[in-house]
Amino acid sequence: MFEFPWKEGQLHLFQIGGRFILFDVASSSLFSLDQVAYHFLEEGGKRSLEDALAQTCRKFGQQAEEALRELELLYSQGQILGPDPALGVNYVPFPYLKALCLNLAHECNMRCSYCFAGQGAYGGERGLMPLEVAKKAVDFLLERSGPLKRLEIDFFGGEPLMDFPVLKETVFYGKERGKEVGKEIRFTVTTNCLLLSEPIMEFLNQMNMRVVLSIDGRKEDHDKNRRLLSGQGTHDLVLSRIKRFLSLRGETLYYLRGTYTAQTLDFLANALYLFDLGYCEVSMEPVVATPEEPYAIREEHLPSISRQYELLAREIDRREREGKELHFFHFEVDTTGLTCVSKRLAGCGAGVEYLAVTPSGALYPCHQFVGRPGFKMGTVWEGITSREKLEEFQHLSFLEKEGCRTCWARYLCSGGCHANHHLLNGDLRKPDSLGCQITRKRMECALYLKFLRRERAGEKIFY
Amino acid sequence: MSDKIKTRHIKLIEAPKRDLREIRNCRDCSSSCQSACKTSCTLANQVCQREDK
Repeated sequence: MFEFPWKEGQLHLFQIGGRFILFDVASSSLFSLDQVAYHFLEEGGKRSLEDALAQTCRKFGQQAEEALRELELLYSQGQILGPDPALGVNYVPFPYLKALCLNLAHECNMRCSYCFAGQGAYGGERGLMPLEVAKKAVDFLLERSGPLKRLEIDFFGGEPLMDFPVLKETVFYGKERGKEVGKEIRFTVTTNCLLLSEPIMEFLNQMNMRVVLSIDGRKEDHDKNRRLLSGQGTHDLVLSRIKRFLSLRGETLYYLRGTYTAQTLDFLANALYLFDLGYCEVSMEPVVATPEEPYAIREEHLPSISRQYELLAREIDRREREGKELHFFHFEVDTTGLTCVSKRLAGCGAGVEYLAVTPSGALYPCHQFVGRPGFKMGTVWEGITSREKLEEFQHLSFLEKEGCRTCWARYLCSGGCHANHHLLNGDLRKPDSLGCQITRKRMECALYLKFLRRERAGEKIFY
Repeated sequence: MSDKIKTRHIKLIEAPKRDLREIRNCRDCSSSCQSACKTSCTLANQVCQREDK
């Protein structure tokens, strides 16, 4: 009998909402199965294919052999179970810098209870980035970007709009310097929205800047964590700013970004609340926290989280069938245009193609590493001074991470977040299992939604 | 692709437009993932934007 060279982590079978779905890891192709093929492959993962076929024949008769022949055909044409893209790849670390996160303000006008940045101070002194540091950071990015033409700067904090004059001058400087050397810098700002005044909104719109606007959803959940220094909740003020801002800019180049925690676990209701307000770009992220925090997400929350992702995918589909277009950030998985294997092996690029800059000009692998002892990599004045740290991050592909080589989602998540692994396990190479479980569930729901969108587009998936 | 194959039990829904094994190393990707969500970054949201793709 024909044998598939089927090893762990090559195929992923799952069912949601009555659909039977197969994801072929090596090709990143998505297939729809009927019950016969699903049953056969499910059994084939547990026992020999001969036994799986006999078992499937008992249940479905002759159709089992038809399913096997179809799988053989797809295999012979290289559409499933092809060679792993990473096999034989001589992994060469990327030598250039593409993006910088400028922490304009190690200061904040809010005191969110779950803030990973120590309410803006990152465990250090509070302060704003001077213009000379910001300009030097732009120069540093341009000098180290090699042949790259499209670069990125994200203004972050703390609250970056507390340093708006520097933000504004940095955008002008970056556009001008970029033009001189034939490169384009795209700017993004992540803000809690409190300082979105009319002139600031106008500037962000005129400059066509992307914005990530922080709002956790419904008032009761948002105000539980996102408060002023006085303890007062900020929902009403934030929402009024968002409404005004997005009405002016025509609702493009933005994401409403919320955080969910153990104490505000109902992210489904919060995402739908934001969709109900008429916004179509929404992201809800699990909180970054160590287990002792009362708001940290724990194993016991996983069933609820999984259920909510599934319901969210179905609800987005239902609303899209009514003519709405909705985007939930982590469901927007594009398997047709995925990046090449070199990027997918490299992962997020922290510490290599992406760095964070503090107000004093210190360089860290990313915004989440800022202030962590041992992770300072240099300064914008001296460049990278810790070659050892650079080399460590250059070789942090998922091939080096525990459990990733056989995970079906490895080419979609690329090994996950280095900073979370270090925070939760004290080891850059040891993924946090809770985060992995959430990611895998989110990926399944994203693939499921993709399936439903194809179905809705009138493509006959079956028969 | 399998659209051309008459299959009854298994059907291709979506496949990448090109061979993912190709090493480009150009970083003409849609964005660095940190610029989008700032936590729980994954690469699945990113696409290749190289003009000759």
